[in-house]
Amino acid sequence: MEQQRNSNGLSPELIEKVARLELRARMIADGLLSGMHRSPERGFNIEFLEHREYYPGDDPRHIDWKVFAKTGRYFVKQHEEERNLNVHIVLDTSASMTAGGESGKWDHGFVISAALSYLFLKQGDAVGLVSAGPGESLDPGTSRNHLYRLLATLAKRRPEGRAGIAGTLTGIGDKLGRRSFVIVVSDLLEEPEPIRESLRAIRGRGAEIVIFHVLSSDEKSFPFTKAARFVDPESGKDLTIDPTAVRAAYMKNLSGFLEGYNAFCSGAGIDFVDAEVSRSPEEILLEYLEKRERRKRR
Amino acid sequence: MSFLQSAFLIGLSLAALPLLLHLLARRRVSRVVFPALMLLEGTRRRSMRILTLQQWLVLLCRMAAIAMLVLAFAQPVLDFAGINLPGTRTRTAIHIIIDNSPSMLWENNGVTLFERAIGSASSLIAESEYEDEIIMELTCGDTAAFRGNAAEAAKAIKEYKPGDCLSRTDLKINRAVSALRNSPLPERRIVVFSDFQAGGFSLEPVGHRAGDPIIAGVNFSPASERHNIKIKNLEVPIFPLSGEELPVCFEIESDVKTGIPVSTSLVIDENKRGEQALSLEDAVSQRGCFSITFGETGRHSGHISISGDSMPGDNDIFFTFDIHDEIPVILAATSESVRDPQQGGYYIARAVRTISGNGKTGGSINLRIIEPDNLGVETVSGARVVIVPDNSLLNKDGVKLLGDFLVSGGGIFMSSTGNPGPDSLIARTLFGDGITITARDSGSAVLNAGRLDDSHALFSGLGGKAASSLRETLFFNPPLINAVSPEISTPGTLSDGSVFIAERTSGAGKILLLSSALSPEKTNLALKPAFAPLVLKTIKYLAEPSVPKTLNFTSGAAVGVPSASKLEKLEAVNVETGEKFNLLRTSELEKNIFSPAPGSPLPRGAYRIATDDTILFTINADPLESDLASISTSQWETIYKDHDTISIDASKPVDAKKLAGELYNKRATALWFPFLVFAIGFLLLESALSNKR
Repeated sequence: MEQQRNSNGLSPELIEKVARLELRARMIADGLLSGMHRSPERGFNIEFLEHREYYPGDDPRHIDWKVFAKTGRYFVKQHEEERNLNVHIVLDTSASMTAGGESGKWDHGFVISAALSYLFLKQGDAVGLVSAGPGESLDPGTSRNHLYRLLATLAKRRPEGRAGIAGTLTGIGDKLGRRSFVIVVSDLLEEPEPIRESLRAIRGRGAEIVIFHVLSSDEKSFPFTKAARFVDPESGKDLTIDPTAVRAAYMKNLSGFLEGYNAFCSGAGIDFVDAEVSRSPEEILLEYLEKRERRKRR
Repeated sequence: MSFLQSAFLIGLSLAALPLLLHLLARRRVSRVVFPALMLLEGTRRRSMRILTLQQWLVLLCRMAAIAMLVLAFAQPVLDFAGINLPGTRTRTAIHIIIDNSPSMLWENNGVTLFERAIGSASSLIAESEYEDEIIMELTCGDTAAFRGNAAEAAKAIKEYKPGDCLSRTDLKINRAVSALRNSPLPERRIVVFSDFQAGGFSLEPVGHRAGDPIIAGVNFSPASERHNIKIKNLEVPIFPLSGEELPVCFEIESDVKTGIPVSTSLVIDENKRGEQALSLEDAVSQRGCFSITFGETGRHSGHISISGDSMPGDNDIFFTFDIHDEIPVILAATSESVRDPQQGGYYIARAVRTISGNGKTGGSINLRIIEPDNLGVETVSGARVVIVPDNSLLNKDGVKLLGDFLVSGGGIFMSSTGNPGPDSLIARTLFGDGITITARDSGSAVLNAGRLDDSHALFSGLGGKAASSLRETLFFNPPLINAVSPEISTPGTLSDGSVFIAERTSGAGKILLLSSALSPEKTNLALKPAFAPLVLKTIKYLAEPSVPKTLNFTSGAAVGVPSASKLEKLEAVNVETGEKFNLLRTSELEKNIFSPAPGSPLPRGAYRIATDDTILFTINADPLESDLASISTSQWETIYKDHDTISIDASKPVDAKKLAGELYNKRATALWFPFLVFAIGFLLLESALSNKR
């Protein structure tokens, strides 16, 4: 259906969607960003860096009382959040993200990406969008306008073509600084090894990586019962099979695929987040951040 | 292997349904966008191979299950004497033909053949099974053929009654053979319960085809034990007059020569008028007479019956007769001639007086003497007979008048005087040129009466002396009469072969021409003692209309009564009982024929049409049925030699189980159960294979 669009090329529905996303992201961010909610230390950049002497005007809650007990002087903790971070959201825009229809993988990844973008920009970090597949990419930026440009870019995009995630990640790796955060939103349905190589390389540059692995419910549980022609939207390949006959083998393959990534990510210090479409983006992000918080506290 | 319900085999086409659905399903396989195809890659070859194999196995199981199920419903049987599961005998269509013709009423020890046939048929039905189809029919009557199962047949057979017809068992068998060819049942039988009368097997059997039924003949004919007596040659007096005492004679014939007690009785108007015992010890036929005095004038009926016959009632002969009070006769002669012993008129008048004075007659002949010149329509119309002793006295008008009288049903007795003019006029006018009358050349021929037809009403019943006396009659140079037309009959000839008496029937009347004047100088006939009886016979014979008064029909055969009535329905009245029956106009093509309504045959008896007193008819026993010549077992098998036959002698009580054993001996093993088990097995296998997938 042809949608009504404004001068920026955004339809009212998309603008509303972006606004809703912004709202949702802001609600998440408000709970995460320091000094704004009950958990001021929650956020992506909560890594402790160093102590500095207390100056009047500093928030007394940041005084490290243990150091005061040892030295008799007031020091406050200085966190990494106080520094800018370059965040690269690598969104899989390939045709494989079409699975699951309008509210399927693509929308899921879209919302997650949008929410993350908002979150980081709210923190004052620079957020860039990288298409793992056809489509333009946006270099990291921090302005509010950048946020809307980014959201609009997301909104206008439709999944198509092949992904080439490994290549995309390799391309990013060359541009990364010391404080970079790479977020991959993808189904990773490519040859795993090149992707892993690229992830290793990025990790070698000191960048932190989070993978939101987006799979549809069908891909996760393979509920098909009637013989059908299964078509790969990227390659166009198809297989006519009786699903009941191959389900067990498929589930075994999927399990192996996921275990492979889990093992790799665990070893490489990469967060591998199950972002199956049946779960809401909020749930996925909150669960991940809580997990991350618990890990930091340990 | 054969199938009891072969129509179900059409259902085998359903076995192709799974294959059809499978092929259609393959063609309509749905398309699923599935990015994780790479995770299916490794499974494809194996899964598709297993899938294909399993698919085909499942498919085959489904097809086999349907096929087995259909075959089970078709009730397959193996046609050999295998293991008989309960209730698995081959279904049989059995067509039972029960002879209920009169010959089956022969009685022995108080039980008729018909009752025995019904008993045997009932036992056979009791031995049949529910799945068998029973068709049952009688050879006589309008009872519709029964078709149903054994239980229904057992009820229906109780309603069967003896019939009254010519038994056409051959026709029934032929029809049954043809009908059973269309039976869906694999086993077919025809069972005939009959005494196998020869008359019932005159038709050629229908040609044999493969699969035709076995024909079983259960022969109840008791052969030597049975005797039959027939009444032949009934002689009812012609034109009986009230008060006359006359004989009613008959001849009985028996098929046995040993002495049997037989008595005959004559019933007139439901009153027994005579009974007499006859001995058939030394003769197979015997003549008997009842001498009765005829009573009130009017129409009457009677019948002669025989008791002691094997089939009482089957030979009763019915007849009707009218009793008259007088016969109006005109003697066309001059008053002088009646008084002149040299004239024929004299002797005629004397004979009539003799007859009327005979106490035995009781009735009378109303003789009026009218001058030939005075004959007119008014005088003649009241008479039944006109006697002309001297034809030379007739003028042209008189001859023409007599011609009209003749056609209207009157009787004329005339003698030729050898006068060429009147003779040729009479030959032309009254005999339609069917005779020639000429003078003899010799001029002095003396001839005797030659051949006299004893069967003719004029001469039958004359005693031996009277007959021989008549044959010695002399004729002196009589005119030479020759019959030149087949319309002319000659019940008597002279010794030279020329005509003694010429007879012609014209319209409803009859004319007799004597080839001589009755004067003593021409013949001594009038002087014979037999003359008076001969005159009486002649008068009565001529008074009786020549049109057959009574139509005779055979019971069970078609009855068609011609009538000029414009009505659609006529009422037939049994003369004896007064019972009334309707006769319907049969069809447009036969507008003047009336017959009993279908299904309402008339009982034997004598009938008149209520609105037309001239139409009389009788329905008597069938002469063929009365002939109890049975055919033997070998003859019956020869007649049906092209067919499979079974002959069962039922002269002694029939063992029903043995009979059923012979008829149902072709047993077979039913296979429906194994096929059903196979069907269930294939369904279970299909289910297992499907679940495995």
